[in-house]
Amino acid sequence: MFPTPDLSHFTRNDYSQIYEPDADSFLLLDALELKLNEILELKPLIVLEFGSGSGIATTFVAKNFCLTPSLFFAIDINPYACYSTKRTFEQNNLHHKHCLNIVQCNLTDPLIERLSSKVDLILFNPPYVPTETSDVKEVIERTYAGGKQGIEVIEKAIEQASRLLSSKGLFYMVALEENNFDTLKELANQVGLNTDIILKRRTLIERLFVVEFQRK
Amino acid sequence: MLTSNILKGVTRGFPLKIKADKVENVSVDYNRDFITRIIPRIEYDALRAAVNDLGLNESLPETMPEAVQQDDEFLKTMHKVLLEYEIEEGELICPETGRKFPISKGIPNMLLQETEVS
Repeated sequence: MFPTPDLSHFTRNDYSQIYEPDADSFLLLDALELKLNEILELKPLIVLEFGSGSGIATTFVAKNFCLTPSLFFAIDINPYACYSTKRTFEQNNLHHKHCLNIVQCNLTDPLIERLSSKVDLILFNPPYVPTETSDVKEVIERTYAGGKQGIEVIEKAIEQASRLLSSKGLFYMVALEENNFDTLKELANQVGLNTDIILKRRTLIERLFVVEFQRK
Repeated sequence: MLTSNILKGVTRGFPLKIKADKVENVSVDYNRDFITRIIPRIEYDALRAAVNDLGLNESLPETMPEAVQQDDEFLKTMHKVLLEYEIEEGELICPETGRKFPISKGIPNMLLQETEVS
């Protein structure tokens, strides 16, 4: 078991502006750890995280899965989350070894052309909670509001991931039972990706799973 | 600096022009293999334009040397230019629309307004 990245620089005040790592965040880390050998074998040069929030997942990967220097892209629509990702990366002393590029944007719109078919590893703990709409203004709400069936943002991310992934690239995403695995599988299938559930966990309030996507 | 080589502006705006108000030098461990793997993914002309925008005193040849792998001096310059200059404050400017994207604390804000999205 790899230790959780050091997050001791955050206070309650920070967590009023970014998502505080919770069961879903830790499930993603555990799923990655299950795939340690595959990821090490991939020797990821370019890693990208959608909605990096506190930066826990990107930092975890940089620390444990990238033995040689790698290029990280972390994006978030929330400027405070962008800055928090940077702080966590630095707190864990990874900024002299790896190159982290943080961009405040909506999914990967401004990056996708130049990174097309180049990303070896993609991570996403999405807003997966079914809500009336995913088009919400308040920052904390945006961390979970997934719109209809909880998949409005997920759907776009799968489409973008299908363009970003390198030939052997891997994409890991957290999802909720209500998102419906068959729906995700069909969405992925339409854009040429295979899907596999690699880890499931039931928390007090949610049934979660982690999906692995890969080019067919 | 590397980030600016990857981003695009409103529609096809690439490369973005850089206006830097505060540039910071950071130190990143030199790794020959890493920089060699990154170089094929860089738009070289855009990088030279960025070096020029920033007025950096780094000499990048007009075209990329043919034997990049053997050219240690070139690799070290590329390492420094790509990884060790961080634009802390400033803006990226879309060459087509003139739209300015602010950079704050080293992070560019590329969010578009709804009216700008096609």
